[in-house]
Formats: sequence, C-alpha cells, structure tokens
Amino acid sequence: MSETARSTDHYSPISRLEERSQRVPELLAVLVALAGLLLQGERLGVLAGVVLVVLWLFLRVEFVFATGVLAVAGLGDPLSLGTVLTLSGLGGLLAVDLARTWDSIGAVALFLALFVVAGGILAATQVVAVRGLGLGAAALLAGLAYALHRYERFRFGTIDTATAGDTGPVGESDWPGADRDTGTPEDEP
Amino acid sequence: MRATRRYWSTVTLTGGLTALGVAASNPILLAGGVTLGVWLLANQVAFLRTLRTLAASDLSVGTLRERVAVGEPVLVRLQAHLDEALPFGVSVDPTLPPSAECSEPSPTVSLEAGDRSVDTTFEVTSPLVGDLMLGPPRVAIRAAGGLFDTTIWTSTAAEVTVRPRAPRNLHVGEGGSPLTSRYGEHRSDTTGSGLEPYEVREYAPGDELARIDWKATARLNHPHIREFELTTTHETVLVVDHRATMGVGLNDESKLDYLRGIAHSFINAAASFGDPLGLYTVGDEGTTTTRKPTAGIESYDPIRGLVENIEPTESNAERSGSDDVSPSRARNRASRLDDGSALGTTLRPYFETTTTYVRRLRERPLFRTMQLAHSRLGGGAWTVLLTDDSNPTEVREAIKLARRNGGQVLVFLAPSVLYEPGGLDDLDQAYDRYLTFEEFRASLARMDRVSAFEVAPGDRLDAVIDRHGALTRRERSRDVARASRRYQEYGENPRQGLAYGDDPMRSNEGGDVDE
Repeated sequence: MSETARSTDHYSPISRLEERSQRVPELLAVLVALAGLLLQGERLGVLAGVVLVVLWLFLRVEFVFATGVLAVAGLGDPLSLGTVLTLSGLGGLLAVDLARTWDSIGAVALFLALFVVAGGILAATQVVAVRGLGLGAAALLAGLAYALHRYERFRFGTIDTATAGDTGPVGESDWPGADRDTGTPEDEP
Repeated sequence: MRATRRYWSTVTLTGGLTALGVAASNPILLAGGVTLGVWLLANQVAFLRTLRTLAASDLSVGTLRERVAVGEPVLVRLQAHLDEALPFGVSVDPTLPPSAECSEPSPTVSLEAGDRSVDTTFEVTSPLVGDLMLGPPRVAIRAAGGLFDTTIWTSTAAEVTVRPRAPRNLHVGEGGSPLTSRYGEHRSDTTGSGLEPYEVREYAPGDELARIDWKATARLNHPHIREFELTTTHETVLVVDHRATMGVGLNDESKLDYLRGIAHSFINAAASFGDPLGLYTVGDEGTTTTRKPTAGIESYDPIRGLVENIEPTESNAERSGSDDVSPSRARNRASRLDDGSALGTTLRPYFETTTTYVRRLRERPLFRTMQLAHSRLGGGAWTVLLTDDSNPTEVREAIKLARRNGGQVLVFLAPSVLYEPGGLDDLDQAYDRYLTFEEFRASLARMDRVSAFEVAPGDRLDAVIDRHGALTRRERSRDVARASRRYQEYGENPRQGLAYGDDPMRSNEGGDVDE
C-alpha cells in the first residue's frame, strides 16, 4: 500500500515497495510476460525481458505495462503464443495492482472481463480497420469515464478538494493545476 | 472526483499507445492502449464503490450539551465508524465555524487503511452568542488508489446554542429579599376601543351609539356598552453604566456581568411584547452608545449584541472624583455655620449657590447620558437604569431627570461591598456598608414612579445577612435607622467616604437640576 501512501506526496513515476512479499503475485505476472518475450524473440526477447523486470522493480505498473506492450509490438506476430503470454502477463500485472489497491474482487473481475474485450480487438483487426477500432475504443472509454464522474458528483455530492478549502500542506496535492495560480483545475478524468 | 497526476499520466500513456497503434496500424499497441484505459475505468468503478461505503457509514459529530455560555467549553465528539474497512486512509474534519476556538490545533482524525472506526474528543468554545453549528463532518479522500482525490460531506451535524455568560448566583431583590413579582405584563387598566373585552356597562349619555352592544342590550333590556381594554406598548430605554467601577468583581463575574443578565431579560421581554427598545451606554468618557427606542428584530438583535460585548471602560482619574454634594445637603451643612463666626460668614455663600453643582453634574457621564436619552423619549416611557452605588448623587439626579414627563424608572443597583475582593473580610463592616447601600436603594425606591432593586451575588449577600441573621426584625430596623441618621449627619460612607445623598424624605426639595 506504500504506492497509495506515496502518491499523496509529489507525484513520481518511480515506485519502491518496501514489502516485497506483497509483490509475489506481480512477480508471477512479470515472469509470464518474460516467458512470452523469450518465446517471441530469442536474444532481443531476453534483453526486453530483463529490461521489463528492472522497470517493474522501480516504476509504477502502468509504465511497465506500456513498455511491455511496446516491446511486444516491436518483436512479433500479434497472434503468436509469445504475444498472448506476454500480454496476459502484462494484463495480470495490472489486475494484481488493481486487486491490491482496492481490495476488491469485483473491480478485478470487471477489468478481466474488459481485458478479454481488448483481446477481442486483436482478433477483430482481421476484419475491421485498426483506425476505426482505435477511435471507437477511445471514444467509448472516455465516455464511460466521464459518465462515471458525473454519476459520482450526482450520487455522492462530492466536491473538489481545492474549492472546499482543503487544508493540506502547500504542494501536497499531485493533480495538475494544483500549483497553478489561475484557471479551472482539471477535474474531468 | 479530481484526477491526480498519476491518472493523467496514465491517460497520456493510454492515448499514446492507442494513437501509435492507429498510426502504425498495429493491433497490439491498440489493444495495449485499450487495456490501460480499461484498467483506469476499473479503478474508477472501484473508487465509486468505496465512496458508497463511506456514504453509508456513521460519520458524526456530537455534543452532550445543547446550551453553553459564551467562552464556556463544550466537549465535542467526532466519530467515524465504517461498515467496511477501506483500502486507503481518509481524514475526517468536523468542520467547525471560523469563530469557534478549538482546544486542539487540528481536530481532524485520520482513518488509516484497514481501520473501521476512530473517534476523538476535543473542546470548542465560542466567543460569540448565537447558534454554533458543528459539522457536518467533511471526509477528505486523498489520492485514493493514487488516482483520485475527493471530499464528501456527511449529513449529521450538531447545533449548540451559545447564550450570554450570566452569573450563576444572581440575586435581584430589595433589602436582601428576592424579587418575586413579575414584570412585563402590559395591562393598561384603561378601557376604550381596544381588542380585549373588558366589561359591559350601561349606556351613559355621551357614549357613542356605535359602541352599543346590541346583543347585551337585548339580553339586559337596557342599552349597554361593551368596553374593550386598551393595549399599549412600553417605550423602554436601557441605560447601562459600564464605567471602570462596573468591572469590579470576583471569579470573572463583575458587576457588569450581573447587570448584563438583567439587561438581557429586558431585551427578551421587549422582543416578546414587541415594545420599542432603546439603549444608552455610559463610559468614563461619556456616552458610548445611543440607540433610540425602536421595535423589531432589527432593533433587538443589535442591542443584544451591544449589551453582550460591552466592557468596563478605563477609569479617567481626572473626571472621576468624589461624588458631588447636592444643594439640599449643602444647605443642611450650611445651617451649622450660622454661628456668626467669620468662617461661617465666609463659607456660607458657597453653600447657597447651586450653579457650580449643576455645572459639575452636567459634566458627569451618567447624568449627561440620561439628559440625552430623556430628550428623545416620549411621555410615560420606561427607563431602566443599570448601575452601581459608586456615584449615588449622580444616580439620584439622573433618576429624577428620567422620571419627568410621567416617566417610570426601574433602577438596578449593584452594591459595591458585595463585589469587591476582600469586601467580606470584615463581616461587621460589610454589613454596615450593605445597610448604607440599602438605605440608598430604599431612598430611591421611595421616589414616585421609581422602583429600585439590588443585584448581587446571592451567596455573598446571604453571607452578609446571615451574619446578622440572629438579630430581631426590630433590631435590624434600628440598624437601618441608625445608618440612615449617620449618613444624614455625616454624609459619609464608613469605608469609602461616599456620600449617599440627601435625606430621602426631602429628596425632591431643591435637589432637582434645572435643565
């Protein structure tokens, strides 16, 4: 949980976890991704795998995931076993982080369900143009995120911490715009 | 919900991967971007679930007392009990009003990840009179999951009524006996064309025909008139003395604190009856507040605030001298100089003239304020004077002025001996001084349309009176008479050298000040 606690300080993509025991499930996911990379491209795959493990030790999971996806895209065939293993490992990494952060099975189940949808996109590229899929997916995700945000405002009557006169120390907030003198804070996810 | 920098950086990664995937027509990059977006969406859903948990939890602020005095601490309990433990920490702020002073620098409690309940107690004091709203508690969630900030308000709040600080042991009465009669019932005992039925009487020549009660006439077989009682309002003006002597007292309860309670009673009474109420306050430098009598909430509340915040002024050594000797007393003393001596012949003209006395009296703050108030009052108005016995002649002359034009005067006097630190060290002497005060009060009460009452700490008054409780009624009367003679003969307070004024039976003779 140190990741959550640390995020109240200045934001940094670097994440150091004190309790290594909590990282065992993540380690398994990374090993799966590593195996996939090894299957995809021998020496280059090994190098990419090592880089991935090192990044996982120090960076937040979203950066590890993005790096892993770039590596897979650069290395191989979309429908090969190595690609499937690597993407599964990377997806598992995000799922474990989700479960650890929220302590919620429901959220993980939702993620995994949608992850399968993302896998379906891979298959769909055989019949639909990537551009159309990309735009559609981006619009759908943005719309859902905004709908959830509005629902939260309406259902819970929440307010922005800045407009509520939050008494936190100066510079503690890590959202963009908090350190700006003027302008509307960016609160729409 | 406010997105953190981590959220936006992840959105950037998502967008970057998706855009790259589209640009390069690479389905793996596209799927990666979508997966990252889905991950953000799942985080958002999980966040909403925890908000639901928080909204259903018991987050409350409460107090054991609903009414406290100004400056009196009230114990506040802030508690948070969650139905389920949260995966991240939250802080709960009781949301105190800016005017409240808290015993803790920051009464916020933190609920760590995994904790289900926490509570804390702290003391809150308010320097202002009115309703003190505590809460509703505000729950700040910072960087939940590293991705979101937000603050939610709960619906439970506590309200504490802050009333003016009033002495706990207030005695209002006459001669040591508490006052039992009630004031404020405005029956005029005058009939006319009012609203309240008063009586039915036989018609008399001169009565208006329109006032005949035909039902009563038919029933009684003679013309009858139904009379109605006139209802009236009392134009009342409060004159509050807050000179330095009013600050004397024990345990932070000064004369002014006791009299303040009386003033509040009159304000409340005026508010309940809708009477016009005015306020004049008197400091050492002169009049400090003037508000002409007006009715309405816009009048009572400001007066209530003024009375509550009034403080004793600093003594002006030049102005505050010994109390002036009235012309009638001066003449009494001059009569002793009719011995034909050179000294008597020389001094006698000084005692005869009243000009100096009048001029000096007009310079005294209370008298000057009473002149001001009286000039703005209509006939039959009520004047409520709240002062002490430090300047008896000035008080007496001010009262004489106030009761002109049929004015009614209520005087509430604080006997100095019962407030001074060490005033009861010698109970015999204290008793003598109390008798002196009582004689002064009684002399005021004997004036037409004047009622005078003592306002004192009940326990200290009991201590003085009980000291001589074994005396018979006749002996106490004899004590009073003896004290009265002593003031007439010497015109001095046994301890302070204060003159308590004229012979009460002759108080109206020549003592009035020409306006």
